[in-house]
Amino acid sequence: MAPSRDSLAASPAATPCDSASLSSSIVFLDNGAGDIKCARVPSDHFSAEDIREAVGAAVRIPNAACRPRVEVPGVPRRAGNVMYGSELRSCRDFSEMSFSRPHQRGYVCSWGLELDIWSHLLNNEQAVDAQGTHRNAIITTAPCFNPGHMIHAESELVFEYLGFQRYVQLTSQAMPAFAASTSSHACVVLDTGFSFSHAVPVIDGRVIWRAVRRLDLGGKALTNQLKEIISFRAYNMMRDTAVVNAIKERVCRVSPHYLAEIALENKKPRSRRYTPTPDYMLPDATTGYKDPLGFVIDPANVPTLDPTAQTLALTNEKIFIPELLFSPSDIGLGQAGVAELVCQAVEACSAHLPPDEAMRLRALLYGNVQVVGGNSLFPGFVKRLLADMRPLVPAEIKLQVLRAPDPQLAALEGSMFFTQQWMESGRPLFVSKAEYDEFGPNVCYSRFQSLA
Amino acid sequence: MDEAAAAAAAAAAERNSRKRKRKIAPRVLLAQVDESARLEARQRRLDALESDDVVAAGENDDEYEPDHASEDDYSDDAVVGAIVGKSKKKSKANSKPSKAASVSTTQKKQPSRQKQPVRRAIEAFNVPLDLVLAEEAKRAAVEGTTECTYEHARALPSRFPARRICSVCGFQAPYTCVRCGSRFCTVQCGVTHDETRCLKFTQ
Repeated sequence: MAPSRDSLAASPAATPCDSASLSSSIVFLDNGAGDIKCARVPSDHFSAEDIREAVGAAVRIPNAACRPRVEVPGVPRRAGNVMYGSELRSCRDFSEMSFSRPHQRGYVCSWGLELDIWSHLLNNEQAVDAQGTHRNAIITTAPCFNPGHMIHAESELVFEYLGFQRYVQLTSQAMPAFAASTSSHACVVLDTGFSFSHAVPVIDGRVIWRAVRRLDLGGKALTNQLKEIISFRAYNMMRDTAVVNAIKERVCRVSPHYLAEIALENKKPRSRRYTPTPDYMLPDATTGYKDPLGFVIDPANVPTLDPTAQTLALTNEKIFIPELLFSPSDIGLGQAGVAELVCQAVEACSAHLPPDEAMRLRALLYGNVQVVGGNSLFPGFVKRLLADMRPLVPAEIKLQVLRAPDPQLAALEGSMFFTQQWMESGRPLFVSKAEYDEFGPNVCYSRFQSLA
Repeated sequence: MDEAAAAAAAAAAERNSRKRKRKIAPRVLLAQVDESARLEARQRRLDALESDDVVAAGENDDEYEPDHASEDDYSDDAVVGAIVGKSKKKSKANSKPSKAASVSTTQKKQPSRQKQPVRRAIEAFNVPLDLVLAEEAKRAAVEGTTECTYEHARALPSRFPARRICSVCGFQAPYTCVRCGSRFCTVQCGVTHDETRCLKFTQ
């Protein structure tokens, strides 16, 4: 589908401020609250092949200034002993590492910190490598309903501090609708990420803003809840966020029938209920395991384990933690779970339509539910979502829930396809430095409003 | 007849209500907390789940304060130039009265001045999210786009009643705490709940 480079280069609408002398790579930066996903394409006119290559080489770093307990050799000395991004790879001790994050409930609130993280990313990561090249264009993402204040701040950061020439900000939750795996005209994106979960209906490339629904529960709250439970039942791990997060990602799973499963467990006598089989080997700095975050214990290997090693046995919290996404009322959050969230979004979409049209729209949307975001990586998530949604959806409607091949990179990939389509159509996408200097941050705000 | 019957019924109701009141143990009456306090405690717990695990100030060492000069290059923007320029002028002005004083001031102030400009200008945007969202809601109300706001997008409560899950161990819970309204499954969990969780919140 990609047109030849010559035809595009000849079109006058491509980019007004582009000149051949500038290096014309575009940096894509999916600014997630948990992880930044970043990649670069070589020029304005990129093909699907380029996109695949760029996504394959994408950098994924925590969006945080990390402070280890002890200094890590090889990391440049900074005040506060903070380290960024790929420097964590040389770190062998994640216990009691603290993370300062610029995001607060999903929105960037600490701009100085974000500036540090971004400039380190752009200067030091090999795959992005925007240090030597001329900083040409950057495409960032932000969550739905990003306030004008944040757009103002980010435009200033991008143009004045990082020195980019062109800039655009896209809505991260809408972008997976444009990724290669999504082919239909209408879909609902369920993005269950670090700070919150969104259900976003996208029809013909436009987001139905009034129907977007948000559940204020994400991976961070789940990690914190698990941290609290483990600290209460086993070891005090209140400050071992990184380790608990790894436990959450590796051990937790979504139960197909939570109540039935715990009822079964509950029938056992109390002494047998908490099975003594260890699930997880906690990291040990002295013996130095391969993985500094510890590892999952294979039940077959239990007898061979060192009896003095610190192991962790998890009981129902293995399924309780992901369960919160489906039933937030379990911790007293008065919002619907993810299955109902999708239904609420679809119903809001079709609320003002005559009955037969509403039915058709519903059928389109329910037929294409795209699941992205890190929480969808819990084993059994998609199956459970389907099972929970089925009774809520009219029986004659076919329900299909799909998970993106890599749920965490779907927004990055989608933003590349979106950019490609938008630039092919010849409509203005980027805000150039000249425009910014002329009209100020308001031009960014109105341009971004026109995009999705 | 009717009046007498009504009077008798009223008397019986009064007796009943008095009886019922007397039946509640004073211990329980004392313990009960009004709905707003329960809600607040629950909200605080939920807010605690959103918190970052950052070492409290002064516990490890100073506040997060990266030095910029050594590492990352920012593009040469006007703000930095202007403020650094100013600081130089000031130090010159200071150097007139006495040499010793000027040395001390420049040595003390210059590192902090070097740091400040880059941080200060962008950090003016560090506004608490609540304020930003309130402002945004006001703007939406003026523009008539209240359907497309952060507030409007919040998920509605579930159509189904909340499940009864023990707040301590995660199993099904038949009992409710009289004080805070959260659930617990056994006496053991109830004791734990009273000791560590009831109307309390973590860190």
